[in-house]
Amino acid sequence: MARRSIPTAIAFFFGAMMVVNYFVPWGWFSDRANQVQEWGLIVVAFAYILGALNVMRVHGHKIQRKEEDWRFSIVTIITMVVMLSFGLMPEHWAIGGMERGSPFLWMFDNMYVPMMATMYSLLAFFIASAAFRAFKVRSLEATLLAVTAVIVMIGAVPLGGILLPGSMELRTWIMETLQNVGKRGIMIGVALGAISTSLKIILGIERPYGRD
Amino acid sequence: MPNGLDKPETTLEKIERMDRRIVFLAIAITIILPLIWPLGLPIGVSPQVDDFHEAIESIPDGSVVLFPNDYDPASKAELYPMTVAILHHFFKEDRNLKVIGLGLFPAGPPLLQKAFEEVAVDQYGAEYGKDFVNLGYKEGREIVMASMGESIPQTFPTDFFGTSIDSLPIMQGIKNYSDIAILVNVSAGYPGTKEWVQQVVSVFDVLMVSGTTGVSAPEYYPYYNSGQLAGMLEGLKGAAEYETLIEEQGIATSGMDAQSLGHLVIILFIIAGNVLFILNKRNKNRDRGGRF
Repeated sequence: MARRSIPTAIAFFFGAMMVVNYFVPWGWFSDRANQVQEWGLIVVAFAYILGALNVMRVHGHKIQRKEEDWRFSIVTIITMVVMLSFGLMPEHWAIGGMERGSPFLWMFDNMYVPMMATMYSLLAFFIASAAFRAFKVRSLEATLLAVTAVIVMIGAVPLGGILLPGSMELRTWIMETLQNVGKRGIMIGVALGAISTSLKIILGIERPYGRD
Repeated sequence: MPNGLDKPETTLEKIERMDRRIVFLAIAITIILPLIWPLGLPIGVSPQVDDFHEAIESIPDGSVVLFPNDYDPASKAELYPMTVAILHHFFKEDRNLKVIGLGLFPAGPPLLQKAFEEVAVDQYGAEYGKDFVNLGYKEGREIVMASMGESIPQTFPTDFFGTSIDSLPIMQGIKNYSDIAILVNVSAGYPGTKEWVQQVVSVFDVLMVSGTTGVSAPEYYPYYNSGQLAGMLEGLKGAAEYETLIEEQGIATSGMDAQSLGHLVIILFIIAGNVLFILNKRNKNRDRGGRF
């Protein structure tokens, strides 16, 4: 009984506290709610430590059992340890700190940034290939989608104004009117769903924080 | 047979199934060439970009600006030029604006620091800790935003370099959002613009503008229409338009030619793909004795 009711009571107390504070941010009560937010930040910081340990454990097991692609796990662990070590070194050490030219920022600028940027840049190539193969006018809806996509794409670049005068204005109208109407509907729906889920959690109807 | 019939594949069918490396090559050429030989296409200014500029112009000289840069290197190509252009605007006219930067993406603050050094320090001689500060990264997403409403120094006791912010002149007298004139967010997704609007604009009534990636911009149009965002920059195009407005042409303007041709080639591929699709469908129907 207590295993069920105590977590539910804690969830109800803190959940209700934050909701009330949002609408009535009053003196002493507001201070307590802010204190709870600070606790939240501390708990999240601990979650990072748990996350790092979990990465080590999962990849350590993979290496130990020589599972598929286990060599990549070695790379993951080495890079994590190296970046973490340099990142944690105090500023007064010759190879520590976050100043420009420090080993940590050198690795960030010359390894991490180009690799991440490359991954994202590849999207342009895949989008072009996918557009050629999949954007087919198979039905009325698909035709509408394709025509709208072409207008939005051409209206989004300076060349559009030259090749298709008025495309920029048409794009703005599509984005601010047609697109906006659909987006608002989705957002209101999502917000109502979030309120409903939050209420279920606060009232203990749904209990993601404990096992029954 | 690849066409599903007992017939050899026609030329049109072969073209429709063309090797995707040809598409990749076409895109690569159209992106690289204008970067080497710029076309200098004229750049118009959208109303939302104009509003963004006006919002920053509207704050009094000497105001404090909160400048969260919520993105990482994956979005650098689109958003870093935006950060640079905005910093030019902050420091260009000697308005004595105090800029407090931070990032809610772990890899964001080093990029912001680089932009501060390239623009604020190298070009305008601004001083760290006096004219601008980088508070660094703090995990906690919406909790961080809400917590800054109570106390910014408590939420960020140290800056990006681990220095206590109490020792920085720029942070003297800064308590919470009531000391902030405008929130200028550069955002690649979650946590970002949407969360700043929900947690800060609607609760603390702070003036806010946002620069976002092109792909996430549709998400924020409702907030711009409702006035919760006073202005908006949309992807590299928004950054290029902003550079035009502040008369400081940079990497976004030079990238727009490449983006223009890239979009054009993708559109041509869509049209070509559909023409081939329709012709092949008509031929198949004819072979089966039906009508198109």
